Amino acid sequence: MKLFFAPQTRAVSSRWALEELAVPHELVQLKFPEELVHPELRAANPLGQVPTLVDGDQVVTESSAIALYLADRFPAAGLAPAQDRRHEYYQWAFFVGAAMEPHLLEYFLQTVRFSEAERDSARAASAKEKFERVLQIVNHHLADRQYLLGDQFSMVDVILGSLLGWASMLKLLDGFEHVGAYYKRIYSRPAFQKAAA
Amino acid sequence: MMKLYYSKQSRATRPRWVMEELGLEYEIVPMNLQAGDQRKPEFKELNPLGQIPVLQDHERVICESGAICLYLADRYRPGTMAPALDQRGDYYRFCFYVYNTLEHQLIEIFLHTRFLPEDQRKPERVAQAKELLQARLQIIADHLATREFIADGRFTTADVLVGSALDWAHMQGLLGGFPSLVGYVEKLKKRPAYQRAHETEVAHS
Repeated sequence: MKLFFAPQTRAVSSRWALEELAVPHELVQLKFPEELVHPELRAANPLGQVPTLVDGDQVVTESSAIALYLADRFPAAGLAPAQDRRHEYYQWAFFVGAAMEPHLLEYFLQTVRFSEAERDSARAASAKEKFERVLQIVNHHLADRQYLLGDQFSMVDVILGSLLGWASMLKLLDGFEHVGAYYKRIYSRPAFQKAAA
Repeated sequence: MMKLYYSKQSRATRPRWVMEELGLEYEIVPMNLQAGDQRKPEFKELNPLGQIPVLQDHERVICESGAICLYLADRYRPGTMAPALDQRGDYYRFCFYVYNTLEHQLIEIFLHTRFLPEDQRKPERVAQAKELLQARLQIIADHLATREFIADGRFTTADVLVGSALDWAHMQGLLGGFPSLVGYVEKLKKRPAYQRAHETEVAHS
């Protein structure tokens, strides 16, 4: 199994998933974004995205898809619920990508990535407000739970946790008590420490 | 009976299509988005984001159209609409690809050509989104060049999600350079379950 990886990108999530499952794998370390033209990566995924996972003749892209794929491919670790009880599991997997990440990305572009001349402070402020509104929903959910699905860590915690790492770097978690406690809980996991090293 | 909070011409048709494929009985709860039904407190109890669709399956409440579709495929008649658990690479890949990669461009184009008031539309954002869209459609066209369906060599929920997104792209006139994708969409639209999910519209929704 081979993971095309770059530090401090969405690929951390996939590396974390592999470490949680203790799956032997080869890591192809690329510099983001200039090394995404790597020929073997382009052959597997012409969009040149990290993460891209190659497992035999199976190519998997999209960090959330890779996480769910790995949880099902290595079921002994118990990181996915039984097949008939996956309502919350799938909901959170989609919620992170659809409801949270677009606002975080916009805020990142408008405050960090773009040159100062290209930045639009109104768009940054609006993205921050929208992100915080959604984060409040997560904060409320975590008030009486250790993990997204309750008492047990699962693969959707890898998906949310990876996004929170990014949000934390942008100082967007301040004031969200339960999210903050959750973030500390999952970031102390050895698998995360190894993936983010 | 399951309840689907629904509005026509929205992502709510996706879980409805899956339920029709599975032959499930369900009740449609029509939501009038113009009248603000999605902002009413009793609906926000179900989904604090105030978005449709929402599925109520006995005590379970599920938001996010993609999540509802995957849930239904695993919960009812398992195996009918989803691959075995250890064969889900293409399945998960393209289900998330629709929401996290492909549709961002479709939404951007829709907002800046149709949805926003004319003085707020930005043609340069449409041009940029259309350029990105080409490469993203090409990924699906390449995948389907050697396959009839997205995953598992047969029709699955991944086809419902990819097909629905491409159907929307086609309605916006964005599949011009991709006749094979038009053919794929047309093939899916012939399925009786697709037709039941789309043609039997609900009054007041």
